[in-house]
Amino acid sequence: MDRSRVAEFVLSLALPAERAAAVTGDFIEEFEGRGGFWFWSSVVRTVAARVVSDFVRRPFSMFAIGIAGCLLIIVPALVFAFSLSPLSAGHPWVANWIFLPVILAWYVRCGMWLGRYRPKSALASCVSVILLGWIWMLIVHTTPPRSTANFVVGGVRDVLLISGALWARYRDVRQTWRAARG
Amino acid sequence: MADVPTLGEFEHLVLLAILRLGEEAYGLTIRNEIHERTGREPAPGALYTTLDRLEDKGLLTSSMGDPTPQRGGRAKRFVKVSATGMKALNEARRVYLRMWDGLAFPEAARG
Repeated sequence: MDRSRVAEFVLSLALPAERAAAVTGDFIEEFEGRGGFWFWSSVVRTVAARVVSDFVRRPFSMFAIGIAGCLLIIVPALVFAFSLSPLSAGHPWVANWIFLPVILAWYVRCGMWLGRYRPKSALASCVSVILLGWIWMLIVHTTPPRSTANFVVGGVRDVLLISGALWARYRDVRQTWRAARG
Repeated sequence: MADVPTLGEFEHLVLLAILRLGEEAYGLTIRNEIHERTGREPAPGALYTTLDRLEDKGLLTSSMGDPTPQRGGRAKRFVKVSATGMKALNEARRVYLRMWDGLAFPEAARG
């Protein structure tokens, strides 16, 4: 994948695919004589400005997305864990091996929903869910014993959530590339 | 004039740049126009965020042009000031003129 496609893909995390393409086009036009550092710093600063703007302009909406995203992650996980409880009583390892892949796939799926249904603010929506997830985690784990495993799981969850959003946005951007080709 | 949105300083500059550029107003030309006329180089992130905000407020409209090879086959997003945007600009101008009216401009500050 060439530089401009990577840039367009990164920009599509914070902008609709069509606008990400237009902004990338502007950067390519201006790139001559400016250099790679200017190009990439412009891409990153544009994404960052857009994420910050989403939180500043629509704080309640972003908060609501964060809450909804956390519930979407936590509630089915709890229901699934509860449904496995008879199995985990007798065969805890088997239950764990069933639970873990399903729940990891669920995190990716949630990220894909955020990327698909919040195309103008996929990254900001993920950031909102992640921030609220960590606030919740810190509240729950303020009292000892604190388990490092919970924080590792939190980190893995965040990576999978963003991976899902990345994948959803990539599919969207790929469609615009195909349309442009022909 | 309560229904006319008020403009921030950068929003004001962006709308004026779009008016000056007419049919050729898109991200890159707007940045260059502001740079040439004010000496300031707006950050790309600030410009694109402002364009989106102005469009959300109904102060400008945008349309996609045709893809060009110089841009790697990508289209330009052309923008135009809407009727509401013109009203907001007129109101901002009126307010500035009223504030300046009758004010003795210090000689030392003229540059």
